[in-house]
Amino acid sequence: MLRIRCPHCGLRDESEFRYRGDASVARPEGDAATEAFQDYVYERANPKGWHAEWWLHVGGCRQVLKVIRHTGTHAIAAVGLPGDELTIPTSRSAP
Amino acid sequence: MSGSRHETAGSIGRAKVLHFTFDGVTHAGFAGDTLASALLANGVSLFGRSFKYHRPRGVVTAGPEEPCALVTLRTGGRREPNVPATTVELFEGLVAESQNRWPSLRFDLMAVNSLVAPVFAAGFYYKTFMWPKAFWEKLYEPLIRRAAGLGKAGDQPDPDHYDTLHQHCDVLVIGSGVAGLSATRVAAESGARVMLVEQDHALGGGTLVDPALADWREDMLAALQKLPDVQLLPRTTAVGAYDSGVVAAVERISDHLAEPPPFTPRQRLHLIRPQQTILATGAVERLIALPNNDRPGVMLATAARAYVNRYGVLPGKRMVAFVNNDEAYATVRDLGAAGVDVAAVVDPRTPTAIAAEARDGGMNVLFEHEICNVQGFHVVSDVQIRDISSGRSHVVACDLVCLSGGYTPQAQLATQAGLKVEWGDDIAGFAVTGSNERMLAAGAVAGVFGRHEAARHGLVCGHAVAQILNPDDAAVPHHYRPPVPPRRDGPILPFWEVCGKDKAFVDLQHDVTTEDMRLAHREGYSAVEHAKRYTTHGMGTDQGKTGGLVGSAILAEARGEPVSAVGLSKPRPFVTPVSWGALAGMDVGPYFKPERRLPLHDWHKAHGAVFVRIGLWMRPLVYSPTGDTSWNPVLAEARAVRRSVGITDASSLGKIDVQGRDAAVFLDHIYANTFSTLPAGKARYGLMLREDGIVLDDGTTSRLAENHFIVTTTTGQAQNVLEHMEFHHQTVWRDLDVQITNIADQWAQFAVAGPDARDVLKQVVSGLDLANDAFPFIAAGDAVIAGVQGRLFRISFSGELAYEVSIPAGYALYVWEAILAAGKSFGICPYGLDALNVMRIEKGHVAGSELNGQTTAADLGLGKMLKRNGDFIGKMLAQSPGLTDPSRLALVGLHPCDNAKRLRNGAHLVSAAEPNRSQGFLTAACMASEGPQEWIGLAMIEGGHRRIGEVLIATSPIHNEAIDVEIVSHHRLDPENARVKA
Amino acid sequence: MSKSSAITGLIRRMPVSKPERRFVLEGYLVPGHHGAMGGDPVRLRELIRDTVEISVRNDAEAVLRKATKAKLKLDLPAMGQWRQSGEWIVFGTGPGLWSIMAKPGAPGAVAKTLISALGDHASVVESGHGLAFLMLSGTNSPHVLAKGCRLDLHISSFERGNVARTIIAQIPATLWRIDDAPTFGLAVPLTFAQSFVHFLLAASAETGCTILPASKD
Repeated sequence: MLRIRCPHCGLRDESEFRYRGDASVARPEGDAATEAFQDYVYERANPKGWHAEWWLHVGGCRQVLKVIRHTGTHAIAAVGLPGDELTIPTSRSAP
Repeated sequence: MSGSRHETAGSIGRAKVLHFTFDGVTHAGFAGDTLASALLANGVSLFGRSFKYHRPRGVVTAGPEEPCALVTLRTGGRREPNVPATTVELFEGLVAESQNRWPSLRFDLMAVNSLVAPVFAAGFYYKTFMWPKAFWEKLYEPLIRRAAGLGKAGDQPDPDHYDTLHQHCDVLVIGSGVAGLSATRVAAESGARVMLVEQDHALGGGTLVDPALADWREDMLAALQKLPDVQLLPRTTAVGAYDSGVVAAVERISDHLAEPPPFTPRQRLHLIRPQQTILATGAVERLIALPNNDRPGVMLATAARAYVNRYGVLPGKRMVAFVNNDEAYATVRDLGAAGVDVAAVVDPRTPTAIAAEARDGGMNVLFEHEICNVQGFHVVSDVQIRDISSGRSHVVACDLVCLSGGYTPQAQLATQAGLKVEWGDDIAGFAVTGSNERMLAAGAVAGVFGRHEAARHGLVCGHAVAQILNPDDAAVPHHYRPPVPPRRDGPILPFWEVCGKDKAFVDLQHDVTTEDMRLAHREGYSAVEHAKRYTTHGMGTDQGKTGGLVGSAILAEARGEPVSAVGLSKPRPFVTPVSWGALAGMDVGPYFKPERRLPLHDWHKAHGAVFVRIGLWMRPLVYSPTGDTSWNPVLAEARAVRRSVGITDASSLGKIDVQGRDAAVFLDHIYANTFSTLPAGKARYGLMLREDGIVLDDGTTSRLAENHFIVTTTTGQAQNVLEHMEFHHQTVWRDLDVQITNIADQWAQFAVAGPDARDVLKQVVSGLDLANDAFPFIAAGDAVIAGVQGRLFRISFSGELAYEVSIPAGYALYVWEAILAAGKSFGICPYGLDALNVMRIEKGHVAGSELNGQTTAADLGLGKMLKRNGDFIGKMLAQSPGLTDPSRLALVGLHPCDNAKRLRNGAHLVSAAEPNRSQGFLTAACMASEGPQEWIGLAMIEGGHRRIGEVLIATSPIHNEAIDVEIVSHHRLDPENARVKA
Repeated sequence: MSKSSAITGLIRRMPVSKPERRFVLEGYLVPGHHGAMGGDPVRLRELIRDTVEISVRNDAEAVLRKATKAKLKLDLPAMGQWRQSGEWIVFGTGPGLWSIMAKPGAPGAVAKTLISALGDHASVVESGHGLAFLMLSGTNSPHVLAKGCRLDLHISSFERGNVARTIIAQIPATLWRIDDAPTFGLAVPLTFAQSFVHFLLAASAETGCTILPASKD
């Protein structure tokens, strides 16, 4: 069970959150080419390692959070707001 | 082995005699006994039959690591198989039975398995029973099930209840031996909130088997009990370590009672979220793999010590010990002092100081010797002792053999938490050597052996944790002494196996022998995880706690590598077995998920509603106070709407309040059609797509004011749509000024539908002209209904003249009854989901079975709704070739060519020419409420409406039906929308 | 007799004369003792409240705070905090989000006041009809809640003046600490209320629970 430190609500159990996918892809502008939308919807790096992802705190403040999580160890390096630029740790493994 | 009760030893409550039965025989024991100790005291040595070979088995340990003495406890709904007798606290009236024997424990016909043993070697399932395939289910499996196995699961409902407790603390200490108690005390005295969990009913761990440590233990416990914010949880086993430092522990609240007291749970799952965990789970003694090391009467040395010192039971009269370490000499000493005749101590080592002292004190210690065989069938009769260098052997009679092959740190939780576990030559075992930001290990589990050393290590770890929690605090002074002087033990000799002709077991529970391990290696299963799966070594209720490392060592020898290179198999949760009840907690039966009820649930129930559970919702399917389960009440409801007026509770629809300067722009992004052009006071049907171009949801959205919209969603997608809007507002269109508020429960919503709907509502609506030109189709606005300020929308799902009435939920019953009273003279009829479904099929409106996550707007005949200009979610990918292929399945209506035939939901549509190729399927079917008496349906079919007029076969093999159907327009009723605009 | 008339026959001729707001849990919370006897029972009571949700417009929280202070003499609390202000209790429920709770009054009155004062700076949406309000009190109330609530309710981490939105027994809930009895206030969605009460009664059976008469006060 993950515990995620919501910047608004504090440390909360994973069961309060809804996973909303990869935060490293951004929705293209509306007039972008179809290929850009295909990449946005379907292309994923699927790393073993640190991963930026969206978590929606549905059971709390109902705010979207950006979470840097290690897909191998579930360690969480940072949690921020959607507009935040979060640093992805350089090491390949979790602390 | 012939156990007996010692006159004085132990800490049991001799004043209280408890009666119990084992295999129907009544015995007596004392308060504080386990089932195992009480049976031993009554001279019982045979506890069960082994898994594969049905060999007689006794008791090997005195704790949850027990591989052999598994029994079935209790009867009826509380019947529980595979319980180690060593963990069962005795209670008056306890009923236990042995397992895996037929017809009786002493005379087991299946013991013939032992004689055909080669067949049952490792991997025999895979090799022997593969062919012919049909034989597996019919013959092999039932045969194996009867021949091999543990206890049988109960088949009656469990009458007890269980719960879950969410716990938080600064420090969790797991294990209450010298290290755990020391760590708890230091951490608690530093001011931390501390929880201490201990699997035994008594706190103290290893101190409980050594009377010399009793005073120290009682002093520590007394000190802990005085501290605030210390939670001591005996009978609680930590069973798993999870992400973010979470630990799960099961408390057996009422297992030691015949049945739980009223309102008391049987067991409780604690989900603990500590800042820091100190693992002090100690070490478990391991066996030595020697021929016939499974005979009843062969026991681990520490267990024998526990039976004498804790339970006051002499497990035998004459013992031989086989030990490779000095710690075990304490056991021999204590057993000797209690009156057991120590025939010999067999030690493969050269003399150490402690061993030499024992010999010099008169003990018959045979150095550089080994036991090479154990004789006896139902109980040990003698052992063969061999001089390792000369190979000469002699026989010594005994009824008890105490084995000590060393001690294996119980590092399972540490491994689960990701801590480093490494081989230590000094302990000949794997110990926790690492820590992480949330867990560290103290005492024997960290390879720190000896009571003095482990107690000191516990203090150090307690300090370390206090420092992590409060870096600014000075070290807390402590003034308690370790319980005993430092350890003087000489080195342990890694010693795993004595080879011989007879079976030598590494896993007593699953009958895995040393030969099985070597066979695994020979056949390529040399990695420890592969060998585990090939041989079942380390599986089962005991998870190989006593023999796991021995198996690894045999494998290591076969591979020609050190044990450290082989390792132990990965210990996944749970460390010990957990009941389903404890995992389910309070979420059982109808309470598995919460139930969402409409504001008028009780009214519906009182008026004969038959409810259907859809997602979490309970919704009236039909009102049938007479219990009529036919289509008649459904069609009567639908006809009331078609001919006069009906009312239905649509409160489960999702409702979302959207406000803000950019609300309209935002909705234009969210919806595939346009809302910025919608005038205030109007409603519009809207369609949302997912970004991949598939339809997400539909619903009616109304504009109450320039910057204020009410979005409605389908019941099933309400949560998803809310999240979809929040997500896109907060990540993609952050700069738009939009406020999104969920108002689903604030508003009760009723549809009043039918040609008389206006005349009914006229009587209760004030301040609003309901005339068709004043409040036409798709009008929306505030209204006072039966004196309550609400909202009125002229929208229709049924295809009739209809209004939806929104009322603050607290007044729902009042307004509902007011409308019913106003409609009484029109014969107003409440209608349920089934009637609604009939009417939407007749009208050709799509619902959940068509909005199924696979359909596009065009598939549903709604392609023209997609706006040409402006960006909306799903716009680009909705145009991709796969979603615009003209051969895609698309929505049509259909009816049987012979109107006496019925349609089936899910039936596939095939042609006579190609009866095995599906061209589509029925999504919905019902009896028509109007027009010809017949079944009608909606279907998704290749080519869609271009196929209108064709005749196909609707086939439902599970009903053994295939009927001719005609494809028609899905707009069966009023395609011109004259009724809704009336 | 057709089914339609069977139903209409059961319909009351005339509704009660005046709109009446109902207790959500009428019939589900019957006053009296429930569960184990002789322990230290928790006390449970249903209340009726009006509530209004406030969301800041244009991300202009400072402007909203200023307007609230000037026009309503109200300091909006930080997220996770609640405070009493005259007849109102104001909860900080999210970033730029507040809930205001009041004893039941004229329908829409609180919302009207807020819209006229703050309408340019915040959206104001009524929510009280969609909620069941409960007060749970007594030494054992944290233990009872911990059977479904994953938050740490220890006084050191959830003190008087704190509020949290969370999930309790799979049901979304707003939870606040009122005093150190301790007493907790709870608001759960109306449509989940009966399931929530089932949870509370099951969870409190171990220690006992005294159900007090519902109150609009």
